[in-house]
Amino acid sequence: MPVLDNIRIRAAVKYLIAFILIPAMAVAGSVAFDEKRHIFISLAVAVLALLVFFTGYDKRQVGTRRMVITAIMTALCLIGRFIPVIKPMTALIILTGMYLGCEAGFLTGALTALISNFWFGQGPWTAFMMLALGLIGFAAGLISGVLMKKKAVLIVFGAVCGAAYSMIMDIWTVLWYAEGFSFKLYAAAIGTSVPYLLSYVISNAVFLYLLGKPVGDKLMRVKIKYGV
Amino acid sequence: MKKLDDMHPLSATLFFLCVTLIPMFIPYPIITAVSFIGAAVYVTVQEGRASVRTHLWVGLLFVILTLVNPLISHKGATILFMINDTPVTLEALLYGLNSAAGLSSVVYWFAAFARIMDSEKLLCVFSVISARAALVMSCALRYIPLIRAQFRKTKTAQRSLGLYSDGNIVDKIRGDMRVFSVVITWALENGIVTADSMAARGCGSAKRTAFTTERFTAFDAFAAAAAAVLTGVCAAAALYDRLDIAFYPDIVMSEGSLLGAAAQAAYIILAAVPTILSAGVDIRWRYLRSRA
Repeated sequence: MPVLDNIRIRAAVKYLIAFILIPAMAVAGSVAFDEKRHIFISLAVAVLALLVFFTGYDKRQVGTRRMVITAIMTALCLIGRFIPVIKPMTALIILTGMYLGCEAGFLTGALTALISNFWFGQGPWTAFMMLALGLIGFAAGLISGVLMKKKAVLIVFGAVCGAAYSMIMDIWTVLWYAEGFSFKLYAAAIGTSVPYLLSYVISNAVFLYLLGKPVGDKLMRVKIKYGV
Repeated sequence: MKKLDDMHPLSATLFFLCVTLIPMFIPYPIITAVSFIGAAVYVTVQEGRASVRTHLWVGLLFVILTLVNPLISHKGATILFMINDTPVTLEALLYGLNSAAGLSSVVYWFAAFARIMDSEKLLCVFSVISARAALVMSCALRYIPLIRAQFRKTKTAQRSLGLYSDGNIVDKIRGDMRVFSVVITWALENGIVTADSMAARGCGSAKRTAFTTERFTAFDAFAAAAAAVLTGVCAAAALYDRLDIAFYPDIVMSEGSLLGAAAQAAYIILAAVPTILSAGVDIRWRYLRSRA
């Protein structure tokens, strides 16, 4: 499309779809349909968001080097998910987003969720996990400037992402179980998932503290040395 | 006739999505029960003795999900008994039973699905959405064993240098972190070499296409079309409110109708076909071998 040749318009469209169109659809869907269909709307929105991203990724010019580096970070995240209790997975997704950009962060998060669920249990929740982890990587890419400057901010960001991830997945649990959303069930779901929430928060903070600088330096070095 | 395992991944995926999504979106007791039984039988046929673990884990989930609802929700007209002055109702219990059957059958189906989808099939399905993202996925899958092998090598080297101690937990973690750091550097450098080699062979010079050895046969087309039609019947019945059930305050189900019955029959076929195909192929195989 000739109109979309302008790089700024293209970026605007990208953000418009991701942050306005899809949430708008979610809200409209929840208002227009009755409670029973909330699960359907939420799943449709998640799948749509992922489709928008993946088809977009196919059209954009991404260097081969960047693609392979993204694949390696995905492989590291996958290995990271197999470490029991404290997992460096999310920390690595955040670092990928920070140093390789929003797209790479989203791709790494989404693919990690998709592939690792073949071991940890595949289900309709996979779409939500892909979206949640992808958005963590995407957000890290958006505010990478701030995150790179202050280590404390990075660690807090990681902890917040861990908590947010757990709570997003709890929303899904509630929607899945009951017809429509109920705060009572949501509170119960958060209550039962507190150990997971703590494990995410702690492992994100610890691994960003430990890996933030060394892995960041490595990615920066590869970027500068080979012009990724 | 082919098993789902041998079907084209796109057809198999479509089939599984239809079988799984219908009980998720149409929580009608007959549908959820059929889905649960169909999935349990299919997992048993598929995995044999190894399926006991899946059955135990899904069974536990089923019991928990059944009991959660009557403890949280106190709607419903028929009170069974009181716990701490809060009523436990029959309707809430049945509601829990119905959603538990639906939800745990989804877990069952996806376990069966994950079992037949190897990485090759996953890539085939994914490349339809985005060939480039499928390439990234393929690279990532290849790098996992490479990285693990390098991790082992580095660890051995560090140990023989006397740098690695697993005497206490702090030393062990510190040592592992050092090895991890070395391996990341190696992986990134190695990735650049791989990328250059890919570029030299023409990667990125034209629109990416995906290669697959899977062939889409007439049977695959037939299976996909059949799944779509049967799902269409169920969707129509749901849209015309022929498969509705309200639990509170009293249980009210849609009155029997032709469309509702057709939808239930359609779903029974959908849920039974994976098992029938597997069993049919196995029986034919044994028969042919016994004649040889």
